[in-house]
Amino acid sequence: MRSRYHNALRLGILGAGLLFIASQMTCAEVASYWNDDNPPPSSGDGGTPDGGDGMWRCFMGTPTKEDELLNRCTEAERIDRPSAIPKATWDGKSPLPFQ
Amino acid sequence: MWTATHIAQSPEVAAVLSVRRPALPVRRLALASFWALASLASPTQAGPCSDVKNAVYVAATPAAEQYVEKIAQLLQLDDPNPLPVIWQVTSSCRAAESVVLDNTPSGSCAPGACLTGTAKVWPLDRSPVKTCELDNKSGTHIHLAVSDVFPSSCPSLAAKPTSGVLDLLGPVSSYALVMSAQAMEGAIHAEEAHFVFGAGKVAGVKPWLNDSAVVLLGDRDAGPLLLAPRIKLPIGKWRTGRQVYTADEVFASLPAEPASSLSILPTTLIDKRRSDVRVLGFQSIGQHGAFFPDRKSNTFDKQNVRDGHYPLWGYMHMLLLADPVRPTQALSTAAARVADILIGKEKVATRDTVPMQLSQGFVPQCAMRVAKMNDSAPLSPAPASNACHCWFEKNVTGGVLNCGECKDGMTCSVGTCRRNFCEVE
Repeated sequence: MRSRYHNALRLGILGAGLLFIASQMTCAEVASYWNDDNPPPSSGDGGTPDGGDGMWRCFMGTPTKEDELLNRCTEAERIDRPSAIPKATWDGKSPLPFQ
Repeated sequence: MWTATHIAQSPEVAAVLSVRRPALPVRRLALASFWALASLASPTQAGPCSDVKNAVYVAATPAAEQYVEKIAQLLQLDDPNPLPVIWQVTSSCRAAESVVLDNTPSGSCAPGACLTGTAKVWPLDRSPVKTCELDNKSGTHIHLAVSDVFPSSCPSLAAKPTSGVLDLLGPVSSYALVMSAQAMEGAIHAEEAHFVFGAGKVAGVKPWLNDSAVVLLGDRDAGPLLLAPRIKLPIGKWRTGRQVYTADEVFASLPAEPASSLSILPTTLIDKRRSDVRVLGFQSIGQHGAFFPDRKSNTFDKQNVRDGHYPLWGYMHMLLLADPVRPTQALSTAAARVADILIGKEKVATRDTVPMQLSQGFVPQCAMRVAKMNDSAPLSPAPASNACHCWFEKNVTGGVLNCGECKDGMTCSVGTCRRNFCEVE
């Protein structure tokens, strides 16, 4: 009887923990959502890829355009690093020079 | 010179013929004779390809070489209606030119059309592939070009209307920027590639500071042609890149400068030699992070190619001259048959070729979720009408296995049964 009570307690604590984690994940996903009314920061030819706050703003809706496909939320491995182009070569905002 | 007398006297031919059915087709008999004799010749002495009668001549991009070789073997040696195929590996644009510029398919070769040099063909005795010589004086007409780019992507064909040419789209062929296996870099941004290939070491983009360590297969190769629009660097403005002539040379060159080497190759070749190179993730302009062609650097699922996270890919194009009288049909019905086999529309030796596309590293169109109108066009969502994602994932290393099976070929509680998997798209 006592063992059954402990098991139920353990399950309850586990369930509450999972609910808490799930709620935090949902918040993070909502924060990463963008839509046409609220597009992600982008400079077109480069610039700050993640809005400058280090958070990946992936697209969670149904993609209709290329930038939505490229940035759709995915579980795939993603490499995020700053540009290796020296500032003296390109400011990250001007059009690329050899087009 | 190989004559009928030689053929008749050859014990090798007798041996070949004795193990075959007596009712061999004439074409197969002639081939057997030719190649049995050829096997007696010096390995360095290739016979003329024209000795193989009624052959389909194919010019193929390096990405498709092994696939074409496999199809040629099955078609010539195992199919109930055998058809000899002679193929030469060349750049995507050279292959396209050989057909698109062929205004005189039954006459002498027009400028830019046809091919010369060495080609390959399967001997009927199932010995290894042999070489033969195309017409090195006047050129050999090519019936089918297998290219990884739209003809309009080739500088020499950009302004030429392609009316009179059929362009059948086959599976998807992806490309990747690669470094030496010892390199430490994990990715390259499109903007970085713009400067590396457009300016070289003066741009100061680390670690690519050694211009001679950048090796390319030339500006008619599909790799640079598919990359060019993605890095906003027109092919005429590429300044960096030592030209080599074969993919093997690329693989051999990269280790010489392990920290700064760079090239671009088809994943059909890379995937067979993953341990020899380091595949770089690619970050497109406007993309937030770099992605590999595959879901992870060590999987083979081409997930990012298929769902639009990775744009460096082209369709495998089958280019054939159209019949002037019936413009929707190919001038050569034999070449059209080879094309239909390569794109998976027709079987060879009773075998479905779509699984062969997969095993050769291509992505069959049924496994794609995106499409593009040309090589410079943006990707767009394009769910396949006959989607085969579950089957594809099941058959690649590292694929995600979360689909129901329908082993009876029809019954699914959710989705549609295709290739024994319940596809929900």
